[in-house]
Amino acid sequence: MQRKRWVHEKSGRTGYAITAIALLVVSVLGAVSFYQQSNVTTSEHATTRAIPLLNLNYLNASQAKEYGILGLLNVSSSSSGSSFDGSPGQTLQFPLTLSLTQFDSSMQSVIVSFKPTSGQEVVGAVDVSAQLSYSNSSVIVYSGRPVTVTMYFHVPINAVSSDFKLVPAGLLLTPPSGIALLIDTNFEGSLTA
Amino acid sequence: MKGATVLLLLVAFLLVGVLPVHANPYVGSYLSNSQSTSTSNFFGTSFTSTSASVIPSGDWIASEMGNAGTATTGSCPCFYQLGYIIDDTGNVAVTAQYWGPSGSLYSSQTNNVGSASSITLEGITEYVSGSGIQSKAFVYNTLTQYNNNSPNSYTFTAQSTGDTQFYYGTSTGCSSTLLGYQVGVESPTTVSSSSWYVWQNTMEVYTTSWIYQAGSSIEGNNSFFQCISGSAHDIGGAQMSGVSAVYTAANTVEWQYSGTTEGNNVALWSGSGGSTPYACQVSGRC
Repeated sequence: MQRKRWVHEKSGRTGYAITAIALLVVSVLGAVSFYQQSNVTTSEHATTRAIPLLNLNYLNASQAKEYGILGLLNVSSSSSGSSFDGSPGQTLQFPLTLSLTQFDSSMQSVIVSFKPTSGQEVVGAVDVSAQLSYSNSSVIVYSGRPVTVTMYFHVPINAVSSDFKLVPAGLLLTPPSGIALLIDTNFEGSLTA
Repeated sequence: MKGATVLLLLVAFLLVGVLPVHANPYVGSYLSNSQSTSTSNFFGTSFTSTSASVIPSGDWIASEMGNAGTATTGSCPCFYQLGYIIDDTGNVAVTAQYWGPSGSLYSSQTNNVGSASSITLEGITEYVSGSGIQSKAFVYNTLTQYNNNSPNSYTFTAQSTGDTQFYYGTSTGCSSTLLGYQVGVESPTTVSSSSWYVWQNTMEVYTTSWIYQAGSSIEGNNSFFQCISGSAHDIGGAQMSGVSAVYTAANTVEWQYSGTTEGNNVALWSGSGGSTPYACQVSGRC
């Protein structure tokens, strides 16, 4: 019994020692990390808060919620990457897929209104946004239920030959805050006069 | 053992509470005059010497402008970021992010506006009467576009936050030095290769004309721009170790991974001056 008790006590002391070392290591690492992050005299600042630039391609739920983003509206296209060729007077069509990623349960849906206005997107001498229209004036996008919309680009009569890049413009979101908008299309082609 | 477990939990709790939840390495420059106000802020940048292959998969490098608004009522104090992001494939995206004390007011990003070989990328954040704060990106993808001053331009929707002006220069708040206008480089992790370069130029603000002042460096753990509810807010949150200004001239700096950390408040250029930024030389654009 005595030997068992001695073994038990020794094992307990070893456990305490390991715990103490672990605490020491964690504390030191924490302190080093804190001073690397802040590099300020802690007594000078009650608190600090970092505002990072967010790359919406890599936005995750915890990061989004930390900065008040409740949902992400992603605009993509099955035509991304394929080249287009347009001539004056022609109307080009581009399918768009709108999908809502929900970061907070309160963000069930977003209303997307399509209201391109002159000057919003200009490519060289072409006022693109003045030549853009959409198949819908507005749509409601629910989380997990993508919506397809067609974007039309009316090539101006006076367009000159050029390489051309096109981006969906004029998307207005309701609610206007709490939703991040990621336009992830890639429409490149040429206009041939 | 119970006591030790409780202590361990307490330490873990304190560490979580003390450490920033999210921080990116950042280094930038600021105009080092005493604080003043502007109605438009501008910057230019390019990644033309950057080899995107050195950017690890899933990583990226941003060249960005940060602007602190002067309003303190309603949904403000507010902060406005406009940045170009190059990823590991060489694609360049542009993003506009407007922040208020309650979180993000507005965040929009457009991918595939340019590439590592884009000639130059410029941007402006300005007050538009009757609409609010608005950002515009000017992308010169080809030399022809540059020579003709005919960029692809993208306007981010104006947000009526209450701001009509921005701070530039230095002031004090939350026992910190606040830098209202900054232009810098940010990344999720420092890309430790000497084969990336970020040019930044035309750090100008509009008062009654376009001007710049002497510029100095700032790291992301000291890049405070606003004091909100007793908390000093900074850009990125961590210093960009090993990155330094490898070239400087009036109103211009080139950042590169050199193994040397730039540090804080290092003079990058002296003197003042100003001229209309290139994109704004076309009437009605800015």
